[in-house]
Amino acid sequence: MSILRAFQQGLATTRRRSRLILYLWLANLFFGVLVLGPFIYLAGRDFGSSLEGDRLLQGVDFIWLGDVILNQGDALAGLAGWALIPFSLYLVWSIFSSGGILGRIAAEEEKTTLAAFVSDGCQYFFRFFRVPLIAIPVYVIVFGLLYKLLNLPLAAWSRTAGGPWGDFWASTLGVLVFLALFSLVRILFDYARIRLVVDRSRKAFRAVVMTFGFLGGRLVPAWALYLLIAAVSVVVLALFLLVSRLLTGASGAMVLVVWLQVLAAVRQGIRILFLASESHYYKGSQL
Amino acid sequence: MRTDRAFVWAGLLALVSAGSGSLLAAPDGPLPVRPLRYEIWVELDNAQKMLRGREEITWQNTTRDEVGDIWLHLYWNAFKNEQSAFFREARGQTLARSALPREGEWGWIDISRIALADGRDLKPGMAFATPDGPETEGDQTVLRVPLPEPVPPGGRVALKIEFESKIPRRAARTAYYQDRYFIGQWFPKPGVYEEGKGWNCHAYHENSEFFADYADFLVHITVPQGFVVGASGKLVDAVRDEDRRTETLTYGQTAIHDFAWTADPSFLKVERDFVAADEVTEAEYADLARRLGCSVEDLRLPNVRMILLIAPEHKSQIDRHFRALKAALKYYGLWYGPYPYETITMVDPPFRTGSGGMEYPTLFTAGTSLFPTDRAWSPEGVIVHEFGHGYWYGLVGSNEFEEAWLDEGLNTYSTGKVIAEAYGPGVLSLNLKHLPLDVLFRMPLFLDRELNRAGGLAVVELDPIVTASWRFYSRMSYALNVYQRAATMLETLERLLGEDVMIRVLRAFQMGYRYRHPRSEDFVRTAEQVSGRDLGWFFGQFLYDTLEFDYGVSALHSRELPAADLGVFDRDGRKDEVTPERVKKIKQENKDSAKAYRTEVAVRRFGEAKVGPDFPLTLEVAFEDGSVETRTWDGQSRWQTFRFIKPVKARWARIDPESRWLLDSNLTNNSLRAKPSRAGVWRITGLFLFWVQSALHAAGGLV
Repeated sequence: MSILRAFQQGLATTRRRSRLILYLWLANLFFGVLVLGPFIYLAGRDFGSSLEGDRLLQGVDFIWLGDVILNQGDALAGLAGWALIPFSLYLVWSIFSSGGILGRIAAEEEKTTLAAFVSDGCQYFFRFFRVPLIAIPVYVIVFGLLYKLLNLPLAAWSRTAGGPWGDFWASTLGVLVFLALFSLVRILFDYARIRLVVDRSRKAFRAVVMTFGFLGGRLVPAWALYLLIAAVSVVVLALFLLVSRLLTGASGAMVLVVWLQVLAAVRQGIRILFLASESHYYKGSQL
Repeated sequence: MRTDRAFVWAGLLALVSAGSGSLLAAPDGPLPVRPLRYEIWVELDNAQKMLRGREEITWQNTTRDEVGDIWLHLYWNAFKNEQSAFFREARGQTLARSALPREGEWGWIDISRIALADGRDLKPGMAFATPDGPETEGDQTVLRVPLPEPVPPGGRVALKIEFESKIPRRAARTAYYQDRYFIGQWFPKPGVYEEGKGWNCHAYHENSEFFADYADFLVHITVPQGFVVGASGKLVDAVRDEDRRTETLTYGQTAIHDFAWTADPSFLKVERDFVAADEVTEAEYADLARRLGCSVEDLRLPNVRMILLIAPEHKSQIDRHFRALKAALKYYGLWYGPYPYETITMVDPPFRTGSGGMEYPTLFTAGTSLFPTDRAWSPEGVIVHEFGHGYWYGLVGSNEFEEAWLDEGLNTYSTGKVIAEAYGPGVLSLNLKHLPLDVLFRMPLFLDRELNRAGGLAVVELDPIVTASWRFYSRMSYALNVYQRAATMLETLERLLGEDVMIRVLRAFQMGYRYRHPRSEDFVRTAEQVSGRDLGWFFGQFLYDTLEFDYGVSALHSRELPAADLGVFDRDGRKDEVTPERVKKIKQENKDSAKAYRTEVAVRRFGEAKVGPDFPLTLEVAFEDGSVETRTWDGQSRWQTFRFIKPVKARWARIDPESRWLLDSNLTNNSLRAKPSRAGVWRITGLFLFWVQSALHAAGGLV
């Protein structure tokens, strides 16, 4: 199956399952509010009743930020500790929602309802929970060993660079190597999850091992598909951020907040697009 | 051709008496006696990464003491081993053992011969000293050399020294990388003799810079041919030795207290002139003369030769470098006094020598990147700052070991003023592995004083600003106190005294203490004399103490005055009881008459520090009818309540409405609204929320 066709089908599926974006965005927003809750309280208490609160409308400046650092430093440190809880819960949610997304993608003709999404999430949760556990040693091997090995010549080049350009290219290539490895690991576990759903398998480890076999003959197109979607998402993200630069001052303040939430939702759509395109590619390649 | 020493020294000395305009650069105007004269010959061994040199030092005793010894700095021994004060302190603060120099990378300096001019050997008596206490035991950066007979008041002693140094690979401010060099604090150098106290000659500490006496320098630097060299002072001679494939460059400069140089074959050397007539208009001169109460002629700036040594990779930034240097020459010159030397050399630090952002007399290092952001004012900020040290450290030779704020604080304040005047607010730059990400994000605009306040006030309670550099609680406390807190203190002083008075204060301090070694007390005295105000309370609290300054509005209430007060009243010889029903009735009867409200505002002094007796705080209270009432409070007690009777309620109250007190650690509590307004909070929460959501999304992607 061609990657362009998989991409097109992925787009169509994402459109058809657009209600999933709403669920994912709401959850993302909920956890975000949970993390920021104490900050919202402190900011409201201190700035809500101060004329300095008007400065917040202009965006970040070092007068009010200085006050926050100087007077709420300890509270912010506590906030960082608190944030670990919603962050951990969000990881659990991400495992759950992957099941929900892939379950709905696989149920081709069925409707996208919250109940069905939750049902799929529950159905696949425990086998999906095992996937990141299996991923831990893979991450350790890839980034603790392979990345360091691949980075050795770059580090040697950087160490002996005759000027800033050598240093720049060495570090840029290092970043590219990192991203390449990261994307490969992501592909591996994306297809492992897809296999667990499409093949109705319960064995996560076996799915990962089998995925090696699957990718063995299709690594280049599978990787190209991943990079294509990644490129699209980078362009979309950049466009959103460039537009957000234009929303300045008090008048643009609330528009900016809404615009950023649209971006947060679009990002969830891209997540679905990844999984949908890869699902179509997987199924197309099995035929 | 060989440099004729006698000829060059004759030119140098002639300049000292005549003013300027020939072979060597000399500052204009009468100069105080300079206790030192150096002539140094040094050769760079590029293969061995060594310096081999000899120097002739003449030291004059300008005090009334008889001086029986001479103390020398051997700064590079700071990089010799882990027993140096520098490495001990660095390891205690920031430096991991893995970051120590590797094999062959340590630096050191050895004196192979030291003798009087008549040949008497002084080496047997020399010994390392630890003037900064037993915690620096083992340090070899200070050498005491006893003299065979004391130097009487007004007498001189001439020393001949031969030395050999290993250039450190990675060290503070001086280093080599491949065949690129930055060479600072490199030669044996006497401390400063202080009458009645002895030699002021501290070890090389991690958190400290330097202190030295004014001198006339003549330095002959020999390097392999092909190196591009920059140095303090003015190039007066260059001789090539074709047999040895070397070149000897001679630099001279009077009335400076240090000498640094750099050598790198890849440097591009660009020279331009600062032409005062092109940079400063007559209107600017006239305006400033009016503000300072002096004549235009007092303000006129001289032309200066600007020399830039820059890496080829940064060639596109040449104009940017010169524009910043011109702005610095202009505004430091106009505000604090003309730059007196003929040249200024600006060095884009040699790659990986860690020598960026450092000042030396008539030479400084800047620092930039491959992709500087347009509005981040980098490298501009560092250029202005390091040039500015030519004034605060170079011309006013304060003791950086003991009172670092006198150069760093004054100069951080001055840098902010110049950048604001020449460029306006800048943006924070955001880079990922050299790549400028600020193209995508709208970064906050800020002025230096805002950043200085945010950093400087975080360490108020740790140390007084006037603290010996190596005695601060931490490196962070040192840096934030002497740079940012001191700059914030000066910014506040400016707001209290007025901008024009502040320029006069700094100009008087600069011109009054040029080529001298003032202390903090001298600055305080100058500020009081020029402003005509008693400022002891100000400097006592903010320079010499650790008191937090925080005033605020703690309560604001507007309540409708009742139509009548409840209770029993003696009226016409009888008891008259006013009941709630009767009040209601009175209110009903007077319903068409105007209401009245009693507004109470409570202000508090939350911190220990107080405003001075001549500087009361202003309280502003705004009402719903648009009127604004103003009161003053002497701020001496812990709290004060102000009452207003008005036909409308209050909208808000604000203390210090002109934000004169930038030292106030909490500006948010300086005002209080009667009714909260959360628009700003929602806006900023919305922004932070997005970034938290992004972090969550990224974390979710890992599982």
